Parts: sequence; C-alpha cells; structure tokens
Amino acid sequence: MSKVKVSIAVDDAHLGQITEVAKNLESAGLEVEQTLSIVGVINGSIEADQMNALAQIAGVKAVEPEREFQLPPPDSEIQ
Amino acid sequence: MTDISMTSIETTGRYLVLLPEQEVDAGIRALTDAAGVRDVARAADFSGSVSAEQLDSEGATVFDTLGVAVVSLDPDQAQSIRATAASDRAVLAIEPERVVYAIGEGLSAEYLKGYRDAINHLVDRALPSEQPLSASAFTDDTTTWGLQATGVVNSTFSGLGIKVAVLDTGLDLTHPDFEGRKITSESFIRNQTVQDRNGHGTHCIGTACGSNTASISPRYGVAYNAEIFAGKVLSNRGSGSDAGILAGIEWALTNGCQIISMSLGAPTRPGDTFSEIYEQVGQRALRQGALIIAAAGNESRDPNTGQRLSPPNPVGYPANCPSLMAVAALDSQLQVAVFSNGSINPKGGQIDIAAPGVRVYSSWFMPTRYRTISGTSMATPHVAGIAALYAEATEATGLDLWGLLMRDAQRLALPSVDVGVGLVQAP
Repeated sequence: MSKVKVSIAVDDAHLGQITEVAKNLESAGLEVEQTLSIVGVINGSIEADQMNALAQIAGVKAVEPEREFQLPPPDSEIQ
Repeated sequence: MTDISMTSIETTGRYLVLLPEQEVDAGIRALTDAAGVRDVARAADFSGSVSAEQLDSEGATVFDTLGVAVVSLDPDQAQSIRATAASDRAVLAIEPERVVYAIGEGLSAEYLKGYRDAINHLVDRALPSEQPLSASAFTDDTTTWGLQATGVVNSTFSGLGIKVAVLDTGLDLTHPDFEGRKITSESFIRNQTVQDRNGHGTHCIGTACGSNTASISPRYGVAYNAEIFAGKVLSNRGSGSDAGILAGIEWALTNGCQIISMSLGAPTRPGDTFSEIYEQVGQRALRQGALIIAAAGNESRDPNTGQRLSPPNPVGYPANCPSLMAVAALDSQLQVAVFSNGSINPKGGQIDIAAPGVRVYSSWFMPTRYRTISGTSMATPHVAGIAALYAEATEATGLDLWGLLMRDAQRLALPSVDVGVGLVQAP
C-alpha cells in the first residue's frame, strides 16, 4: 500500500509530553515530519493500512488525512 | 444639549446621577454640598440590597458598585448639578429617571410610535449631516470603498505594536509600498522563498496592513503600523497543505502574533463536519492570545445564472471550525457577494462576520503593483486589520478580541446565515 500524509492532534492532557507521544506514534509506524508543540499537532506519513492504529495511541485526540488547498489561478476575478 | 420636548417618554421626576467609579464619595459630596441634597442612603449600608421603600423616600440612594445615584431634585438643584457635571469631574452626568415597561405588556402601538418619532427627531436635530450607511456614501476616492464602509478611514488606530500574521502565498518584499515596514517572513513551501510570485498574498497583506503614506493613493490598507509576519504556506501556484499551514500557525504563535489571517480553504459539502484538528488548534491559539480569522469560501455562485445559489454552499475548511472566525464577503451596495458561502451545516460551519470582498483594490507583486479582485479572501484581511486596530486600542486578545469585533459590527438587514453579526467596524 502507499503512504498517506496525516496530521495528529495531541489532547490537552498530553500537550506537555508531545515528544513522547511522537515517539509512540513512530513505534506504530508513523514517519514523523514535524512536531508542533504550541498547536499540539504532529505531521507525518504512514502506510494507509496502519493509519487506524494511530488513534489508539495514548494522548491522540484526532487523526486526519492531510488536506490539499488550491487557490484559483492568479488571473481570476474571484479569489 | 438639544431641547426636545419628549412628551412621549415618561419620567419619574427623579434623576440619575453618574459618579466617577473611583470617587463615589467626592461625587456624593458634590450632591450634598452643591445641590443641598439631604438623606443620602448608600446601598453599601444595606449590604447592597436597597428596598423599594428606601428608593421611594426623599433624598438620594447611591448604588456604590455601579457609581450611580438616584436623587430627588427640584429644578434648581438639577440645574446646579448639571453645572457641576459640565465644569468639574466630581459628577459625570445627570439624566431624568425614566419609567420603563416590560416589553410586550402595557405598550400600545401609539406609545411605541410616539417614542420612535421622538428619538428620530432627536437624532435628526443632533446629527444633521449623518449619512445613512449605504453605498452612496462611499464616494471618497482617496481610499478604497472597503476602508470607508468599515469606518477605518475615521479610526485613530493603526495597529501600532500589534503583530499580524498573514498565511498565504508570501509577500513581494520588493514592493515599494511596504518600504520601511517591520516585516518578518518565512516560507513553509519546500524549494520556494517567501517572495510572492502569485500575488494573492501581497494583495491580502496589503489590505490587512498596507501603509498610509501620502504617496499611496488610494489608501487600501487597514493596520498601517502593524508588524507584518508574512508566512508562505501556499506555493506560487497557490497550493498548499495542512502540514504547511499548521506549521505557519505554529510559527505565528511562537512569534507572539495576536492575529492570524488565512485567506485559504477547501470546499465542503452539506453535512460535512469541521476538522477536529483545526478546532483544537483554534482553541489553543485563542488561549495563547491569538485570533485566527479565515475566509468562508467562494463556492456559492451559480455558474449558469451568475446569481448566488439558494441555498448557498457551506462554509469551507478550516473556517468552518467554531474557534476560527469565518468571514463572508459583501459588495459596495452592502449586499452579500454572489460567491460568498453561507451557514448550512449543523455542526460548526457558521459565518461569524462580514467584510468588503467585492472589487477590492490592493497591492500585487511587481511590476503589476496593484490589482482589484474579489473574494472572501479579500474580506478576511479587512477583519484581520481591524482586529489589529482593536488590539492596539484595548490590548484585548483571543476571545476578548473576538467579542469586540462582534459587539461593534454594523448589523445589516440580511440573514445572519449569510453575514453573521454584520459588517465589521473599526474602533
């Protein structure tokens, strides 16, 4: 299967131990890209079939596949 | 003071006197010495609980916590206190005590009309030159219509000392209009510098924070003294992803930005719920004293008719999070822009406020220099810039700042699902 990019929000109780949560996520198969300690989010990528396991890790509040954003072309009237 | 006979408004014969909060005693002395008021009772003496009998007695009852006294006065005494209010600070204001009624009970149509006419008459006499808030008022060609409609042109605030982060396609750092400004910039797009080669970011930063120098005419920027934080989270082709945007928000918070403006989003469908992650991020930002303001999205124009879809399309990600302030777009007739999304979805997805978003003139990357475009992307930085004015004026941040923007927005005769609380107004 292919890798999907995901964002993981850490719950308030674990905000102070975000590095630990990141390590546990790594053990569950997540390739950590960045750990944002103020907003409490870890971004990374994981095999699609391993994604569901991430939600079970202690301290994980939400797991969401990464969204893409696209502006209209610069010459558009409405942006 | 205008001398209007308002026979439709009932008064009790007593007066309300406003005393300075920290100097209630001095205020009371002014009442007793200057006006000869006797029998002053303090609510503090009654443990804050003043009886009806006490209120009806002669003399004065002082509500210490409120700094207000209810006083029986003869015309000479009232005049004497009016003079005191005008000349020194011991007493701040005096007005006749009114009779009020429960709404819907004992109020005849007669009474209400009389009240309305008296108020209208008073307003007309007091403010003869006041223009109604309508499109015909935006005729000043030295500033954009948006800065007029939001009252920015009359504001004494400039965002001085406030850090405004705009997460977008970056900024054209060579643009002459931004010369001399304090700018911190960072790119979160791999292999691209923050230098804006798209234009969208420069346009939004121009609206939020554009300069006020005389050579820039028309003026198009709100918070002309704010510190600019230009975060490139969208590539020069206008594309980005959660990772970059979240990193941009983190950067803005690390740098202590009070305002984060995001003119970006992805469409949603009816029934979609909001991102739990952006909601958490929004809540954390608010707790840290940062307000995230996001565009509601432009998916509501019917391509066949050119009219607004009915119902419109729902507010997009991530603006649909309750903890992000979602901005709708208005045109110069103060109507909802044809493309502007609306509050459809039951969970989150609400429009909070509206701002100018049609034919908005602002900066563009060089050599084009300026462009006029439309979008909830253009409405959003109006709110962001005005939020910076409030932050400077009041030192409020986070939810307090949110509250001020909502409190002072100009209510419009338009559905709240389309415009939220109304048209944002500058302090």
